[in-house]
Amino acid sequence: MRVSTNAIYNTITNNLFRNSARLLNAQTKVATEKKINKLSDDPIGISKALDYRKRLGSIDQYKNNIAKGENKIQIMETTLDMITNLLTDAKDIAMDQSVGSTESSNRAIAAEQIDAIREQVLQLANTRIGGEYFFAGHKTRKPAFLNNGDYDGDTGEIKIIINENTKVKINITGEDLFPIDNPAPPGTGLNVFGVLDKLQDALEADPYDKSAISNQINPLAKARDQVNLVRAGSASAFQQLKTADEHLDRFKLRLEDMLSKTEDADLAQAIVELQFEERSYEASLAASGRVMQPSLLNFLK
Amino acid sequence: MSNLYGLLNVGQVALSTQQKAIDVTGNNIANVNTPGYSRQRLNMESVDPIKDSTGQMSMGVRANIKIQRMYDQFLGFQINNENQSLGRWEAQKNSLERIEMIFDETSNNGLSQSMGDFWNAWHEIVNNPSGHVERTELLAKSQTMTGMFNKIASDLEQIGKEIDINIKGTVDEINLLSRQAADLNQKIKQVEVDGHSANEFRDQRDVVLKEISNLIDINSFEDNQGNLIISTSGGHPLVEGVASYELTTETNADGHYNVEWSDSDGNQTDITGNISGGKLKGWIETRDVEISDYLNRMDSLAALIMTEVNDLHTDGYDLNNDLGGNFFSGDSALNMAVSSAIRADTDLIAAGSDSGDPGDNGNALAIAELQNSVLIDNTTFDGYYNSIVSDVGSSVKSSEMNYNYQEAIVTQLDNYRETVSGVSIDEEMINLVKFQHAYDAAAKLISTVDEMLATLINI
Repeated sequence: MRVSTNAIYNTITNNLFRNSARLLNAQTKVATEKKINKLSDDPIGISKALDYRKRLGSIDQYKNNIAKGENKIQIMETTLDMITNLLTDAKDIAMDQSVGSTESSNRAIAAEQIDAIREQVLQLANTRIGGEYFFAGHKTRKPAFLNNGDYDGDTGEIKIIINENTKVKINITGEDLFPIDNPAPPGTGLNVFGVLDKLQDALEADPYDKSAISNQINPLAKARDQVNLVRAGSASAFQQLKTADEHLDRFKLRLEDMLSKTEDADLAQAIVELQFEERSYEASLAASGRVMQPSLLNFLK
Repeated sequence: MSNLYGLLNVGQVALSTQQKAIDVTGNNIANVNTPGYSRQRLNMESVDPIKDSTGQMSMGVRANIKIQRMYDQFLGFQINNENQSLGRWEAQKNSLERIEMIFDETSNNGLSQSMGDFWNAWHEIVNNPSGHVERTELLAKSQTMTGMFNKIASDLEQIGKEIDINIKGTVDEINLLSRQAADLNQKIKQVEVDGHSANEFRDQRDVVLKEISNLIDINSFEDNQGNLIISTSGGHPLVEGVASYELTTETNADGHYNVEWSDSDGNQTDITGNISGGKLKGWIETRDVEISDYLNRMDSLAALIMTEVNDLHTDGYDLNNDLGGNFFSGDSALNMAVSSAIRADTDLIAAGSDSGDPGDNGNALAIAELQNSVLIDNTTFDGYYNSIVSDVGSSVKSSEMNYNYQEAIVTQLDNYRETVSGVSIDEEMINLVKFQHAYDAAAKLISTVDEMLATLINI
């Protein structure tokens, strides 16, 4: 086969270009530690990688939402715990004052204590978390309960998103917390503040009526039970958040693993490839050098 | 009795013939690096002997007037054919690689990330519906996202415009090459009319033909007068003998260039759809098929995001207890923007579903959940965008593969051409030695005959 001079040079040039292109590719992989440096390196892989990244971003956001929700629920739980204790104290006072005959001075002290308890319960019911009155339903910029004990909020539910299409209600409205006509006897239109007011009035009355005092024991017990009831609901919401958080953590680990498998280069393998390409490039350079030089001119005198 | 003067003549003709052969060899050596040069060969033949009274008398050597050009015509056709595909894939690959850069999602700074940030900002509104900080964040993330849509659309259109500039430049180049080919047709005819060979002009004409084939798909053949007829695959002649026809560009309804062919009366025909090879085809394909597809899909995506968000937003309540207005303004990826009302006052973001109460986050919740809803093409917004990105990658990859394949074929064919037409320095060196020895021998013949004549005269 006839080989022209240009054929030799062209072949050498093309081979060197091909080898140096592969060398460049290997270098890029080592430098970026990624298998996918351009969309065309792996079109299917980039689509998967984008999906994984989107899910990881969503998981981080869900965890964020959950953390904020857990925070609110914990503050609420502390608040409700204190309210429960206060209501228990009030009930005990009513019980004490309703047995045997008591001095009017004792009753006066008891009345003051009830007053203080009512004051504290009102404050606790108007707890603010991050500037929002948490027991007010949707009307979070105004106190949930007015001074006279009336509920000034609404029945709005506050939900947070903890996963795809999964929402959890995290608030407790004032109507759930201190319902009207329960604890007070039905038909009275009173909530627990009304009961405390009646207790206070009964203690301050002169002459006092023992039955007026003892009538408030059951309502107070029922009020405390109601608070515990909503606490249980809130606890189960909290549990739901915690479980979701743990699931998200595990899912996140798996996703990060799959993302890494799709787009990260195995550094050890990439370096070995780079060395291989370097060797073969050097070999082709050496071969080219030997082929290019001699021609008949060297040997003719 | 032999004719001594005849012998002298034989020697003299041999001398000049070998010298001519060295001439041709020298031309080959000088042109070893000339692109498109086909090596030339002097053909010698022995002259018919003359019968005289003593028998046959040989008459020596004669050089053929036509210096042979070593050239495989079929190979030339093949190379030009494959060159058309090579040009097409090269142009398509280069322009698609520009598009690949626009959709760069290999780092975390692309549209995919900013869409995720946009939806996450709505989650923060869910967590704190009346918070001013969260609303300002949402506005910022929304503007980042719309900005990215704008940029992708305008970058795609910009590439379209650059392709137009390339097309115009290529059309001008084709016209120049056509005129050169017609010129060369003229020159070749003039030289070959009296039997000489116009090898250099033919080589140049082949180079011109090869360059044209890289730019646009053509058919060519040589008529029996030595004219090369070049026409587009669609049948429109570019070069007919010594006449050449021009291509021009006209702006079409989309604001891009069409390629048109003018006949001798100046009537123009649109041949854009008929072009099926060469760089022109690659560019036209990228511009009219690929770019317009991606732009349409980006427009659909942007329009649907805006529609869905606006529909929910206008049903919700803002902090002033008013029904929300449009959150987005615009109707395409290029002009997508956050509405000016919202930009001026983030209180107008309608987070509530029943009222403007500060704790009502129902509408924000519904909007945040749009991210995972299957709304477009049986997939989510993210899924739709992912498929656009993946398709861009596939397109680039397949055009790269096609280009590499074509490049290998053309290289292979070029190597075959070198085998037939290329100059080998080694071979020419040997020829040089060969002809020089023959020249020396012929000179020796002349001096021998001269001595014989001298002997005769001195009898």
